[in-house]
Amino acid sequence: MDIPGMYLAYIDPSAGGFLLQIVLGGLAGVAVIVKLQWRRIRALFARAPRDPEPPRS
Amino acid sequence: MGLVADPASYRDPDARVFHDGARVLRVFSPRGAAQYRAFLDTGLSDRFCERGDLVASRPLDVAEVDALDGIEPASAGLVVEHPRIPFLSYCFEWSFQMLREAALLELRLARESLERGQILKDATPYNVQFIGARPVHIDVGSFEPWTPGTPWPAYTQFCRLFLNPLILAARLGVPFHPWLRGAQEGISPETMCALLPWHKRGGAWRDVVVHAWLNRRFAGASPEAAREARAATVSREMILGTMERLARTIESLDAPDEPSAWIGYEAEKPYGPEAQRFKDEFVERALSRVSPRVVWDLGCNTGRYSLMAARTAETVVAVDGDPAVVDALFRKLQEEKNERVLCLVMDLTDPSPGQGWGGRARPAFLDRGAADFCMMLSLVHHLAISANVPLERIVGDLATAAPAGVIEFVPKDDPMVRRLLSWRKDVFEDYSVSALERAIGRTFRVVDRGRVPGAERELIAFNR
Repeated sequence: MDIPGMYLAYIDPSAGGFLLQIVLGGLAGVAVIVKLQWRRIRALFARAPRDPEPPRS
Repeated sequence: MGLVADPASYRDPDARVFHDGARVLRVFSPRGAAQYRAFLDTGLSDRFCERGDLVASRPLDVAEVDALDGIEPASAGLVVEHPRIPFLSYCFEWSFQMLREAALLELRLARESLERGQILKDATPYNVQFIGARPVHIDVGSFEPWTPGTPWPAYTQFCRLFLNPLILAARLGVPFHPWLRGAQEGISPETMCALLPWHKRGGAWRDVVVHAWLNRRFAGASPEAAREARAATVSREMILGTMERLARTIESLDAPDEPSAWIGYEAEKPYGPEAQRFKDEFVERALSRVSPRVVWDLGCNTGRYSLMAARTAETVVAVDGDPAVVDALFRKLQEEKNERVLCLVMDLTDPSPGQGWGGRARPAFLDRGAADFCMMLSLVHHLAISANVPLERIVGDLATAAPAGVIEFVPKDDPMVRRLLSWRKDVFEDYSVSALERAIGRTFRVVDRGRVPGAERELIAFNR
């Protein structure tokens, strides 16, 4: 799986619930999402090349 | 007897439940006690209790706390006693309307609390129990002061355990019971979104579709990004808006049109008024012989005999495998504000097992308390013929739940049994009233029997 940002975090099942509540709160909430999205895009390009796959046993 | 910790109560160290023989006690830590007192000061507790929405609580005085065997009085900020719930049940055993009523109860409590500066910190059907047809919130430790600006922490939990199962049933006609029994965290927004076709998403866009998208997209965000996002604030009006939207959505969901083979049973049953009268009198006689306090009505259908038993018994547990008939019975009970009959959806060939942490947080159906009387009317043929359960196992494993009971034998030439046999080979050579009597005789004594006039059905009353 290649999900940007994934390597830094564990899955928080309530992230969406938190974000939805602030997004519906108006422009400030939407700005938070835009910012988060921008981080993801930046992370895509800033990523170091991946290690070669380990040999399968 | 010393205090025994309730196996279901471990998540919240500030408010733990213990049992002391017949009593149910909640032990607050000093911090939990401070929060609970703040909740009491708002006047919400009194209002909720008066309305029957919240379980009653009686604070124990110092001498009573000192007399408790099993907790350090110093570690307890406060101990309160709750009345016992007559019979525990869980959301995967409720009908559609029961889950909906429990959901609306949680939203009602959450909204009114927030208006007084308190937040309902969890919103799960495992905090709700039914007293007859009345849902009651049983966890007085779920209220805490709201920190202004913070979102509702129980929102996602509410969606997973209330909203999504109700949408699944109402919009897709899929019963939620196996889903909730199979996953104690319920149905995730992502799963619900994947199941819900576009044309059935009306009213569910925000709470299902956008919710799922945000989860998928940002659940793996880095801790720094999450910290930044968490600095955003949510107003009280916004949270109230969310709660009101959820209530509107849930109110708009109608019970599913589940295909039910048995909902019309009362109208098409294969015997006339004389047979009905005979059966009524037989059951009434059997009940009055025992005067049971707790009755189980297994295969309750319309609840005719549950209601008869409830005229004298304190608690009747009415079980049927057909979600539609249980839903119809619940609505009837709700209309008459019945607080004695608890109706549940359950396949008796696979009753609820012990579940949750250690397999004990939610006890198995057969371990939740003894019955004094067990009714199995128009049931044996379903277990024996539809599910191939031998008669001696039906008596030995199910009828023995109580020391006395009444059982109805429905012979093979009965129209209802012919219906069950119409699509399968008759391999039931041992299915006869004499075989049933032999099975009963192994554990019980037959005290009354009679043949239903005009039908070949036999009624047998027995006790130990």
